[in-house]
Formats: sequence, structure tokens, C-alpha cells
Amino acid sequence: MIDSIEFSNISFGYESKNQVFDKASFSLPLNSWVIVNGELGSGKSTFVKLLLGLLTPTGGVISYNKEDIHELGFEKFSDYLGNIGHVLDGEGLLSNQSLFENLSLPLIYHKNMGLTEREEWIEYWLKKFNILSHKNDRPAFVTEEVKKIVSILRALILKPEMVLLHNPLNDLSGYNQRRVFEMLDEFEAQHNLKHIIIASDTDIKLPNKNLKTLLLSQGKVNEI
Amino acid sequence: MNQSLAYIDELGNKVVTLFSFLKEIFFLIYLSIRNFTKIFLHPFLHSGKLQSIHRVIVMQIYFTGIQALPLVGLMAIATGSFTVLQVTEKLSILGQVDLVGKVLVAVILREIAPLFTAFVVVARSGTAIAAELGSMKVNREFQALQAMGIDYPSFIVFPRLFGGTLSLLCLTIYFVMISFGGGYIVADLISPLQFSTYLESISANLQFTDILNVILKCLVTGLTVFAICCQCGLSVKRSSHEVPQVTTKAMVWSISMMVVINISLTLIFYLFIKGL
Repeated sequence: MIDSIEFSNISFGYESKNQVFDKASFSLPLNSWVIVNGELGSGKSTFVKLLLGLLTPTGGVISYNKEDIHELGFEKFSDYLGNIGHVLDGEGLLSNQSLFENLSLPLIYHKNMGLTEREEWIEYWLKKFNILSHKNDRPAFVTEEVKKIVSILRALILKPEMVLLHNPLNDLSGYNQRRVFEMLDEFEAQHNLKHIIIASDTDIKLPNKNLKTLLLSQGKVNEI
Repeated sequence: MNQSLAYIDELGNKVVTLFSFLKEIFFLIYLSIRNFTKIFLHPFLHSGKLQSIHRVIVMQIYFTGIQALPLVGLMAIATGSFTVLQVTEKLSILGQVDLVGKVLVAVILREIAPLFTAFVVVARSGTAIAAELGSMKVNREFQALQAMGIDYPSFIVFPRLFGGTLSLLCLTIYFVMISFGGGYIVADLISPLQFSTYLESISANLQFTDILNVILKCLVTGLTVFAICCQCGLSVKRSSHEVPQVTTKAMVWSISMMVVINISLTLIFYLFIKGL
């Protein structure tokens, strides 16, 4: 269970670029929808990767339930990541596996789910987006929109407590954007999803939601 | 003087690069085996993790081993028949045809079979693995695996090491059997040779240390060349133009290490073990 995620004096910069985060400290708002905003290059993508442990900060500590995520043992870190579904912009599906196999992998690896149960769960969601016919296609044979939908589905397939979405609406039609938000609502209502973090280059309007916004600017993070 | 120093400096850099690369290879082997035993050898044999890796191992054995059978078989027949033919012809002049087994064991079993089979495996599967992993890096599939909580050394690298090495061992045994058997059939058509003499000669000269020598060569060569190919594929940064470059690098390094390993183990065998 995720009780707290905190950034304490986090600093990070890429070799060829300016400092992205400069002693930024904040607590990630939980049990809510959080939009992470900022100009191009303000660090939205870096923020997501730091949270997932894909990057190591040059200074400061990212703590999960008061423990530094980079000091967690292998199993604890695996559990931490297992509780956070995510989609990174440009992140790939496994190219040598069909869409169904891509969605099955985390279910087999982490939950040892049987074939019938997997088929039922996965087909339910593929039908919702009218892409069931692509179930056995490999990523190279489907459109970018279908790949994006499957990537988002994969983030949610293990019913995580938190979902982290980076530019989730890119490549999606207006219709499918609405379906994605409906899906997130369904997961929130029925499947254990509590914390929804969306980092986006474009404005996201969700009038019926009580949104919290984190603004990334000049190496700092402020809740507005 | 300055030029000499420059040459020495360059040589030194190349040696450092070589040792650095070898260190990465052996660390990758260690990491993938360690993580595999930690994650997959779970008390519950039918755990999801083992099930998910099982298919990867089976596919690797199919592509590296099963699909290579026709090519390896063809090379084995050619090698065996030419060797048997030349050896029996020369030995018959000396009246020492019963020594054919000794020569075949020393030449085909100990040296040619492990080396030729490894060449085929590297050319077919090693380069494919380097290209595949390089493409996965470009497509950010490793990032996706990592963030799904799936450990890539045990999930991606270990099946290729295990499946590839096992396939190399089985293909080498297959090579030996086909070259001995098939070689005899072809050679007998040209220069008649009694099968019983042939078989007795081979079995009389086949020792446990020969079999140990072959198994050791296959295991060490297999682990090393597949680790080299995986490491080269993993070294791709972001651009697809790096993929053919790392594929070539994997091929060159694999063949070089293959030859070094075979020569080294042959020397060790002759210097230290043969007397046992």
C-alpha cells in the first residue's frame, strides 16, 4: 500500500543540458487525480522516470513510505514498481509478442494468472476499445493509436494502486481519449486504483474531477 | 621517440578496452545467472515467473539448435567424409588403418566439432541475438520491462545464454555423430573400410577426458559468445544505425574469443589432463 511518496531536495541534470531539478522538495498528492504541468523541457518526463527509479537523482532522496527507493532491496523495489502502472511517452511494446501476449506478460510474471482468466480480463478491455480483432497482431502491424491504447491497458492490467501516465492522450482520437478517462474511472471505482498522475504537454480538462496540479518550473515543483 | 610512445599508448588503450569489455561480459554472465537463481528457482516450480521464461528458453533452443540441424549436418558429413577418406587412404599405405579412430577422435571430436559448430551458431544465432537486443534497446522495450518490474538480465539474457549454450552442446554431439557415421558411409564408397574396424578403432581411443574436453569447450564457448552477443546488443544507445555496427562487433569478438577459448582449453588438456 502506498502511504507516501516524497521528493526531498532532489537534484538532477543531464550531461548535455541544464539542471532539470534543483533541490526540489514536495510530497506527491495521493488519493487524487494529479496533473503535472510545465513548459517543454521543464522535466515532466524526467519526473516520471525518477519516480519509477529509471533515473537516479544526483542529489536528494525519493522516498516511498519513508524508505529511499534506491535503497530498497530487489523484492521490495519489485513490489513498489508492481504497485505503479505507467506509460512513458515513446515506450515500446515487446515487438516479438502479440498484443495479447504483451498484456499477458505482467499477469503471468507477477500473478501467475491462468489462460482462461487472462483471456477473459484482457478481451473485456480490448472489446471496450473495439480492438479485439487485433488481439493476435504484433505491434508492427497495428496503428499508433492501437499501440497507445494497449500501452495504457498494460499499465492498468495488474490493477495497481497508482498509475503514472506521460502524454497519454498523444495519438488518440477524441473518442478514445474519452474512453481512456472512462476506463480510469472504472478502475478507480472497482479495481483498487487510488492515485492517478498524468504528466502532459497539453492541457487536460476534466471538469468533473477534483484535480491537483503540480507545476514544474526552473528546477522546482509547486502544487497549485 | 614520441611516435614509439604514441604506439605504446595506443596498445595500452587497446589492452584496457579489451579487459574492460571482458569484465562486462563476465559480469553479465554472473548477473543473469544470479538473478535467475534468485527470481526463478522459487519453491513453487509452476510460479508465473518460471512459466514466463520457459517459452523464451524453448524458442531460443528451437532457433539456435533445431533450425541449425540441416546446416550442421551438412558440414558434419563433409568434414567427416573428407577426413575419414584422407586418413584411411594415407594410413592404409602405412598399414595402420586401425589408427583411424585415434586420428578422428583427436581431430574431429576434440577440435573440429566444437569449433565448426560454434562458428555456425555464432553466424546464425549470435548475430541475430545482438540485432534483436539492439532493436529492443532502440524501441525502449527494456525500459518497459524494467518499469513492469521484470528483471531483464534474468528474463532476456539468461534464456539466451542457457538455450544457446545447451543448443551448442547438443549440436556438437550431433556434429560428431554425423561426421563419424556419415563420414564412414561416404568414405566407404570410395575407399572400402570395414565398419567393425572403424568402430573398434574409435571406441578404443575414446576416453572420458575427451568427452570432458568437448563438454567444457562447448560450455565455456557457449556462455562466452552468447554473453558477448547480448552485451553488444545491450550497448546500443538510442539510434537504429548502431544496430548493424554492434552486430558486426558481436561477430568479430565472438569468433576471436571462440578461437582463443578452444586453443586455451586444448593446451590445458594436453599439458595437464592428458596424463590422467
